[in-house]
Amino acid sequence: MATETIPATRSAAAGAAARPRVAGLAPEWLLAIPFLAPALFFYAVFLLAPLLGTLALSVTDWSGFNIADIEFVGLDNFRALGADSVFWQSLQHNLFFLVGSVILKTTVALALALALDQNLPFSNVFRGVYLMPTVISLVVVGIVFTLVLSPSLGLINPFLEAIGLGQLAGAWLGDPDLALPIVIAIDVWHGFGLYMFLFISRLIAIPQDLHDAAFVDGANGWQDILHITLPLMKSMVAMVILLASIEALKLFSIVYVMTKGGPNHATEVLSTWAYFQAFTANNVGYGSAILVVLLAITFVLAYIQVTRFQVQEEI
Amino acid sequence: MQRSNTIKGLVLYPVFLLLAAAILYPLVWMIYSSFKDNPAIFANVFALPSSLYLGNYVTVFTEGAMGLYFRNSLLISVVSVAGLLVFSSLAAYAFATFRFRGSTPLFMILLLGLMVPPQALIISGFKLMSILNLLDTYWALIFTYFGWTSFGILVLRNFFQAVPRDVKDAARVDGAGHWQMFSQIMLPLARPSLSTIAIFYFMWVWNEFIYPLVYMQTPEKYTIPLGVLFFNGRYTIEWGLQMAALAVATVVPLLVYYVFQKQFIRGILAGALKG
Repeated sequence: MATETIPATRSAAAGAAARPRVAGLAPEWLLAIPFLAPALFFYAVFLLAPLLGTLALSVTDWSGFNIADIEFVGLDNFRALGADSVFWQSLQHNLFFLVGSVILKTTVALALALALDQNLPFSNVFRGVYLMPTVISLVVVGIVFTLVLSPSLGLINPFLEAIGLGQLAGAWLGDPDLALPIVIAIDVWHGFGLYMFLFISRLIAIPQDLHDAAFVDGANGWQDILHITLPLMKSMVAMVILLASIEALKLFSIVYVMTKGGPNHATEVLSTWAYFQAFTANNVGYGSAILVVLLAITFVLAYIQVTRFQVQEEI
Repeated sequence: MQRSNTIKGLVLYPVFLLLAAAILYPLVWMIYSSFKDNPAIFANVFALPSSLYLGNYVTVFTEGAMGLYFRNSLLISVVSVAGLLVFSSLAAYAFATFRFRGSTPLFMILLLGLMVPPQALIISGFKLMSILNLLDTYWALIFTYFGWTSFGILVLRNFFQAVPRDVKDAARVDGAGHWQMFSQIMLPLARPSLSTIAIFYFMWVWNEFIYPLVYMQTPEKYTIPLGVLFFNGRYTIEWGLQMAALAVATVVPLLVYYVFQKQFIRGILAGALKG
């Protein structure tokens, strides 16, 4: 009864259906409008509209200049993708990058989180250093590493020669076999710190009692990690893998800055290929179709993430 | 315990130090090389500068328009972050307070924004901006960034929901309406969350690259990342100049990181764990 006397608009906990509307007070959705309007406006116009626009353009043929020239072509663009060998290469590169970068980031981040959780002095300093690359623009990172890897000057080749391993000197980004693995390595360099912090936050949340109990039972440090810590990290590992995968699909800047997709499409990914199609080759419809494929992959992963979260919240 | 710590240290510190070197050296190299002139760099890429040569920085700010890029980035970042804070806190209050039909689906649609890769929107976004006549204006970027409220709404909604009922009820007894409740009770309480979000958004907007690349055409309107790429494309063999431009581009995010590290880390955890 008590809740019924509180005006409906003020009660946050009770369900809307259960509460009678109090005369003279606006319904809640009306009160919510001014609070929601600005965020929803910009979200709808500048995020949702381009998102739907990408879908709409993907079934058209358009050079991008005159809106009157847009021609509806159904699924022709997607059929054309099937015959586009660069598209298939790009898709493969995206998946190779995703798998490589996710496995490396997760492994490095987890190993370091465990190592830094050993309460050794200066652990905090190292943590801070490892997270640092995350805040630096990928454009800066891309240019710096292009210079580091420059075959003529750079740091790597002269270093290899100086230590007598000159035969290992390579063309690096100019080498089609090495370019993509290098892009992966740089992405790991830039981003593993973030996931390391996610693991650390989980490690801190493990009650000390559990570790103490293991040690009382005669476990050593390794056994503690193997049988107590790691099993409790499972759900966090799964989440990091998902987050890092979604992040991996955002790949564009490093490739654009370092290789522009080259040499000879060796680092071409969906986003750079779509960018080329839309802005250089003026195939707006076709470029959009490539982006739709990218979006589809993203949403499959996002769907897994969202459904996983509901499971987690129930526990 | 003492002995095992020594062993751990003997194994782990070399790993820690090696990794720290791998992370710091390219950046430190970039910074000290920016104080060498080009012949000095080409004579020995590894060597520390023999004297503090500032010519690169002079050129970067005179022939290059680094000061202008800096100003553009600052303007766009400050306006964008301010708008994002206002819009996301307002919306978060609504989601945390009002019960109305469709609020959960609406919230889910907003969460979609966290997943969408920005580069998936550039082609139709470019057309949208040209229809709205916003291409090559700061507003093209600012409005686009205003669309990324999802993260702030998520974090603040969780915070507002966690404010104890007692606090909210006490304000109601005092006759506070929703507007007062929001601006005088909730926002001041949310200050730590707001600073977390602000830092996170600032880093993101400052470093954002793909939208300026697509939407900005006049070099005078470039933001820092695009400006650096443009500048370095003009001086491909002038490494000293390139290093100076890169150092200028890196200084703000690094400063913000060192001053607001706690907030930044909280932002990472909030964005990932509650997303």
